[in-house]
Amino acid sequence: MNRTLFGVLWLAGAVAQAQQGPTLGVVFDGGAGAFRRIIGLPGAAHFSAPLDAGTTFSSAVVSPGHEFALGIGSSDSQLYLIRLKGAPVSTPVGGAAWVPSKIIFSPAGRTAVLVGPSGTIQLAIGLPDSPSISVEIDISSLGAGLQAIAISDGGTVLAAFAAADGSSLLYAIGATSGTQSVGSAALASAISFLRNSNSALVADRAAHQILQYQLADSGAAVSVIATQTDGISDPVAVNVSGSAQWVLVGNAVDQSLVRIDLTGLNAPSLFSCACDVSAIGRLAGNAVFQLGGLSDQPLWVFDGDDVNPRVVFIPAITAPDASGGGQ
Amino acid sequence: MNIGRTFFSILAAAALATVPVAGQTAPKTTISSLNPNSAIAGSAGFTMTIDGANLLDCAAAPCLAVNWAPSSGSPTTIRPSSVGPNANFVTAAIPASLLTTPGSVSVTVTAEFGVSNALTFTINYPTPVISTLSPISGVVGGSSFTLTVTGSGFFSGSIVEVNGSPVATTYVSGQTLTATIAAGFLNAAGNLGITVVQPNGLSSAVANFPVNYPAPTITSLSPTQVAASTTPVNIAINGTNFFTASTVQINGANTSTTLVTSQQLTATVPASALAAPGQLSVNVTNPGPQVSNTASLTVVAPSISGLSPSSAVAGSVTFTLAVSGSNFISGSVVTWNGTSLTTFFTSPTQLTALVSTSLLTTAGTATVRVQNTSQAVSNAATFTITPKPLTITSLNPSSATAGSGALTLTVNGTGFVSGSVVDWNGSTLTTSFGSVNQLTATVPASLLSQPGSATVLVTNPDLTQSNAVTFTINPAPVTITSINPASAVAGSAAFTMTVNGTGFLSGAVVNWNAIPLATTFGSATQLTAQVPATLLAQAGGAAIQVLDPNNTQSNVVTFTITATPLTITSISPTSAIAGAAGFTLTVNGTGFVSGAVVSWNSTALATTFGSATQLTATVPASLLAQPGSATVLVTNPNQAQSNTATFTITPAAPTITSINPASAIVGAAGFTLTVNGTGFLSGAVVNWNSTALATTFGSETQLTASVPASLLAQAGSATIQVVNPNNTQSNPVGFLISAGTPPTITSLSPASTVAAGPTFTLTVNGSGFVSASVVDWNGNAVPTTVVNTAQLTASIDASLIANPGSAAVTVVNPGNVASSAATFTITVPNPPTVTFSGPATTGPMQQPSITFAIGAAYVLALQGQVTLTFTPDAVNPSDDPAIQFSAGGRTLSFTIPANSTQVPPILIQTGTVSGAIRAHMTLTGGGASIPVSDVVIQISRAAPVIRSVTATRSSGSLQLSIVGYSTPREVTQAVFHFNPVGTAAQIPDATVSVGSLFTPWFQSSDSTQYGSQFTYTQSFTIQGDSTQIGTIIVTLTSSAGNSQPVTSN
Repeated sequence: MNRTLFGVLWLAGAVAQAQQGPTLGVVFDGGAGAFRRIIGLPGAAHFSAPLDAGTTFSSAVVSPGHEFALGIGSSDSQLYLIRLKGAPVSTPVGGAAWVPSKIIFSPAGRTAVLVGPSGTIQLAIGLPDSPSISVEIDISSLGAGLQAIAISDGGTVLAAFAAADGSSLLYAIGATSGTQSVGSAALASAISFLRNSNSALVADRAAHQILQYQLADSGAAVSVIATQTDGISDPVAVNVSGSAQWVLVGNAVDQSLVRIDLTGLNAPSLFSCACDVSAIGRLAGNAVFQLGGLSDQPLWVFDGDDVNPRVVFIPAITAPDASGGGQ
Repeated sequence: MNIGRTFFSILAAAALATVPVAGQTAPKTTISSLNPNSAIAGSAGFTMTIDGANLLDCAAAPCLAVNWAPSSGSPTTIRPSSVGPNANFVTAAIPASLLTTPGSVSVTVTAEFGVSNALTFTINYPTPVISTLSPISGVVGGSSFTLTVTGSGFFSGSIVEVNGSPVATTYVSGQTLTATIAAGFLNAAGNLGITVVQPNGLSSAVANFPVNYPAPTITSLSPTQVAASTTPVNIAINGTNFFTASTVQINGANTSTTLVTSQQLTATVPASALAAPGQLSVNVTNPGPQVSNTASLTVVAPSISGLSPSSAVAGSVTFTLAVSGSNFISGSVVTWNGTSLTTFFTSPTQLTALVSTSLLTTAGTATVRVQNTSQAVSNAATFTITPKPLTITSLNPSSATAGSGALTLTVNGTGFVSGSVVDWNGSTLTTSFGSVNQLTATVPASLLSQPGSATVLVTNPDLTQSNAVTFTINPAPVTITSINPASAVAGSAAFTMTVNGTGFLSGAVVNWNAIPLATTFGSATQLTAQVPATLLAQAGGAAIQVLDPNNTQSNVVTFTITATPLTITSISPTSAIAGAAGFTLTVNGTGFVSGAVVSWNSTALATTFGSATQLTATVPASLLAQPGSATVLVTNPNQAQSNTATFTITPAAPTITSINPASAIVGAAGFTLTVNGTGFLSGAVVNWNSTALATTFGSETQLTASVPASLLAQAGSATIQVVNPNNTQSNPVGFLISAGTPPTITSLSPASTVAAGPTFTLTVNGSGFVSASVVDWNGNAVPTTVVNTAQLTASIDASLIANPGSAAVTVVNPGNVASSAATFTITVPNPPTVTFSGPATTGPMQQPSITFAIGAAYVLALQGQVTLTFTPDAVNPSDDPAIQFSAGGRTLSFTIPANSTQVPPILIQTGTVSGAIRAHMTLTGGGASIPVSDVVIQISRAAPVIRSVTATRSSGSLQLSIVGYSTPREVTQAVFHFNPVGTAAQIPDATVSVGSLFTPWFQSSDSTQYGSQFTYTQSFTIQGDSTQIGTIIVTLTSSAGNSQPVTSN
């Protein structure tokens, strides 16, 4: 064993080994009102049986890291935080003014924006260990309708509203910093923040391009990172890999996917998928994305971590449950 | 060469010049034009043509040169690139480097005869271009700042102008200027027009610099809470970035706003927002819109902290109540159990209100609240009304007669409450609370049965007791109010008489005409006495009187004994058939006595006395010989006669002894039925199942009737009966309608067909067919044509042969007489060819398609099911639950509609375990199985595959997380190669035998759900500086080989 400058000692009594199986994350099964794990790797994965969280939920959204979720209790319409590592444990979260119609997590899952029924939002911060809900923020005066919304890990909301001429107005909204107009787009369809950053990607489905907004106290700087020549066509969904290198865009016009390298080292690449590309969520790994939501059909997955990136399915859940179980 | 030497002609190689001879003017080098004579600063180089004369190079050494002397900067010379054939022009390449600076250039040419005259070349300014501004916008009220303008065509001397006004500008480079924007430009929202102007006045296009209102912020509100009210209130909003254009929103609605300073606004909170306690959101919006953070204004309800006084005695007079608390407003109302009191506002902390005496009548409590608005009501304060002392002042009635029955006692006094009870000699009476001064109680009769007195007092729920008051029970007089019965018929049997009245004592006796009867004491109001039959023998009256043991006599009541009339009320029986045998007649009525005689049309019958109400008499057969009626009468021995009753002797009924014919075949023609018997009368009718037939009277013993064919359509029987005009009916006789001989089927043509074929005609051969014969197909009639008694044809619709199988064919004659069934066979069409194939081998983690197709559309729907089974071929064999169809599970059921080739796509997931995946299809059409070969896909044993290696470093340790799979479900060895950082020393590879880790894992049930996938974590203890370890390359080994090495991230 070499010990000149330093050495790696493999000592029989000191070496620790462990063995378990890989999982791709957790999904919420609305039909069962419960969560299911995705067992295995892309291309050889399947769903577990529903996990017992002690109660059932009418809706829930799993955090990007898949360690916890926010859900609405079926019996009491209460907001719950459900920890998903090991056996699920649900804890009520007070302060929600209403049952949110939509919950959107920040990239690292430290914050979330709760969209209310009548032009108001609330911010959930301190997730998951010290959750608290902000006061209501009235956004009803900012435009004719909310088109897209996202929240940064720092708690800044970037939202797109319909303008009178059909275009989109973008506002940065903070719980304490107020509301600030930061720009516009032809038709904003999706927004995704980069992890631990005030930089957000905005999909513009009318201009067929992806914009990058860098938010600052005095406003925002905007740049175009991909256009129709890069394969962007009617984009409706966008998400960013954990490393912030890869951007995956869903094109509605032909259900295709475009992978963009933010470092510029790789040219954009196009993938076809006969699947729902209107929603793109992160799964375990760096650039593995869930395409669409859980239904009675196969769940499609973009595996950007594979040596040869590909689109694969996870077999649909059948009734009676034919999955392999597991916790 | 100089100007003073002898000149001679020379012939240059490329140019011929005119050379002055001696005595002539010395030749001069001149230039007349420059082409071009100007350029834009920063433009590309070009070739300039200079026209002139004597542009000759020197003979001794090259001297021809263009002299370029800019007005600023250093002069330079340029060697011409060509000379005109007559030395009348030269061309020279002017490089771009000489065109960078605007200004004038003096151009001369040096040639053999010296330096020419000078001409001016002009370098003009380009039009400046603005591409970006930084920052991109400003805010109203902002401070002066430095604006960075980037673009092109900038020069020292270029000036930035704002809305046409030059501002202090610093030249940074040809692409960058900086300018100082004074705060004065930021007084109002809008766009500032930014231009760059060259020294010669050439200006760029205008670039807009937006000046926006900044987002306002709220730091505090004053006050932070207001009382709920019906009138608006003003609040102050403290913060920053407030402007005249700023507006305040209360709960999102704009409200009247006044700018005080840039740090303070005042705003009116409308009454509508103050109606109910709660939180109001307060925002400030600047145009843009720029919306502030949200501040909360609390609307609070009034609160009561004390009442003065806090109690009063029930019945007190009107007084003033002082209410202490907070958040009272002018207009606050004090309520008393929900009723508004006349209220006076003293201060936000005190109100007074008038409490009228009408509110104090009843002891108890009152809830006092303060109400600012209908939705803003204070907490409840309790006001106590103490009761008056508990006393009885009077009873009503204060006395009663013993035995007079239950009564309602009214107790008057004070201090009564709900729940107070009246006590009667220690017993609780059922009591109703009327008021604080009155109770009512029910005194049951049992407590008033005996003379005496009772002590009455009232007990309240708190167990306090009133004073005691005496209730007197006086003795009752002896009286008879009624007797029951009050009369009887003379001669009645003994009975018990009930005597009702008052004042009866135990031992009292009932007298009957002064004769004491056996008497039983029931109560002070009721006696019973036994009246013997001997006292009822004669009609008349009896004096009834009660005698108490103390010899007190009651009033007298008369009992009436009435005489009985002789009447017949009914006889039984009331009729008989003429010629019937003798019988006993029962006569019911009243007043019968022993010796009474029943007479029949004045003929006395042998009579037996049963009772005063019933006799029986013997009626001999001789009196029943002829139809008619008889008068029945009763005569007592005293010759008294009853009313009469009528007995009816009815005629005899007809009888049927035989019918002819007695049967027929179903479907036969009509015929005449002869009915033989007795007692037939003219007008008698023969009935066929209660239906009258056309009947002819032949004699008293024979009738004939016409039976139509319609009555013979169904097999079975009919009931024949004769009804005489006097409605007497004969005995019923049965008539048989027999089925006859059923038809037979000898053959069908065709006897079979292919399923799903068209409608066709079926020929049925046999015998016994009739004109109304019908072919049945599985019990359902089908359209039938009768060819003759031996052949039928029937139309068989396509729907009846849609599916393979068989059908039962029968022929049904009238009367539901059916043949035996003949079998018609519906055969299965030839099945289509089926293609079902897949790759013989594939790798793990794949999702291949299985090819499935049918050669041609099939006329029947096809039902299919594909089932996946997996036979592992691994070192540690196990199933792999990842092996599923894309649709989920391992069973895929489907239906291919008839006449379609549309088959379902079949996509499977191969999992990660080596072995054989078998897809087995069952396919049936029309119930018949179509053979399909299995598809078997082999997943080979292969070396481990590593998907990722993640390294986690900490002080003194290194942890590697390795994710991958190994189709044999086996990993025996891991090799770790550590790449040192920089020039650090090489680290030896670590080889770890991991069979003892992986084998238990792959043999555990926990691993099954992952197939052969694993997350293998390996930790190392590090000596030295762990940061000197760079990436780690991992290789895993199984019996199938080594994995590709994978480098950690």
